[in-house]
Amino acid sequence: MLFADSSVMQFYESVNSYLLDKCVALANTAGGTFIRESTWQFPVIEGVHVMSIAMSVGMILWFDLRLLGVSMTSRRVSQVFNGVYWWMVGGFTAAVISGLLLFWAEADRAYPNLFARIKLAGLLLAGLNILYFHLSTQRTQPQWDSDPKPPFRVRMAGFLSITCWVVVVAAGRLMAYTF
Amino acid sequence: MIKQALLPLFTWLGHSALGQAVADSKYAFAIIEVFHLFGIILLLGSASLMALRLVGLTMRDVKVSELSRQLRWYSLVGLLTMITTGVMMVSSIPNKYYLSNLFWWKMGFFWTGFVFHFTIYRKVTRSDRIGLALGAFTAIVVVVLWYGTGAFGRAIGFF
Repeated sequence: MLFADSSVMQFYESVNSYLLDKCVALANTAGGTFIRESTWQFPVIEGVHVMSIAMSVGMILWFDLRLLGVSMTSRRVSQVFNGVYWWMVGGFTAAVISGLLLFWAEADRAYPNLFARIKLAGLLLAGLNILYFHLSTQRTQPQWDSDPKPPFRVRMAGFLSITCWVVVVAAGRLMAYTF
Repeated sequence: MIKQALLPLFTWLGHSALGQAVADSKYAFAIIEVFHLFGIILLLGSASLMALRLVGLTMRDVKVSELSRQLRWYSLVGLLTMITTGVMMVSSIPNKYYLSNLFWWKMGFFWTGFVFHFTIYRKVTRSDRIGLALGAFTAIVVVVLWYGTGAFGRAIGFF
């Protein structure tokens, strides 16, 4: 029996076509069409998306570089975190809202796009990295909070975070070239 | 006037080996654009944090001059990356940029930002005796100029 005929592939195909149908329907709603076919809405939302990414990734970067022991090493990790936290959350919220609006307008083309999937995977990995850092690594924070060069697993969290955001930004930009 | 004087530069860039190479490659432009974006993130990221510090909205316990020392290399690397990749992109399709009004708006914002960055911004962020009024003025101007450059740049691709 060919793998293409196996039940695993049949299941994948049914999920795939179900999601594609949903994405096509989403793009064809009045809201999606309104954003896509407008003169101003799409470019303005896209502009907000890029600018808010510069804000959020730009802010996350300073915290990651502190975790790596590269920048602002004379400050405690928690001080740097408190300094950038709300701005990073604000920028990221704007990026997510504008990103969802863009997806709404072009869901049918984004769904099968390879770079869109890489971007989503990068976002999920960035989220998992944050979750692991928060639930496990951060428990020992009082021990390394003021270390100029924190322990390996802390530096690793910073490195993984930067890597994930580089992938997300690159894949996000390349998406638009392959639509 | 300036536009007229710059026409030979655009023609030369378009005929240069660099411009031809980028124009001939299927992927070069997209990849260069990604690096352009990384440069923007570095510059706007550092300018944003510095601007927030100047108006006293973050890291008040860190001296302005201290924060500036930590950030300045990242903004410089960002700026150099943006200029290098920007020249590469213009070289590949000089006509499109030369004829785009948005491109010239972007250049206006960019070069004003560039001069501001190395004069007033540099002076203000290296001193710890700057009043809130001058600090806030510098913060607002730098944010408007750099984010404005980014917004006009993004718009070139749409119109």
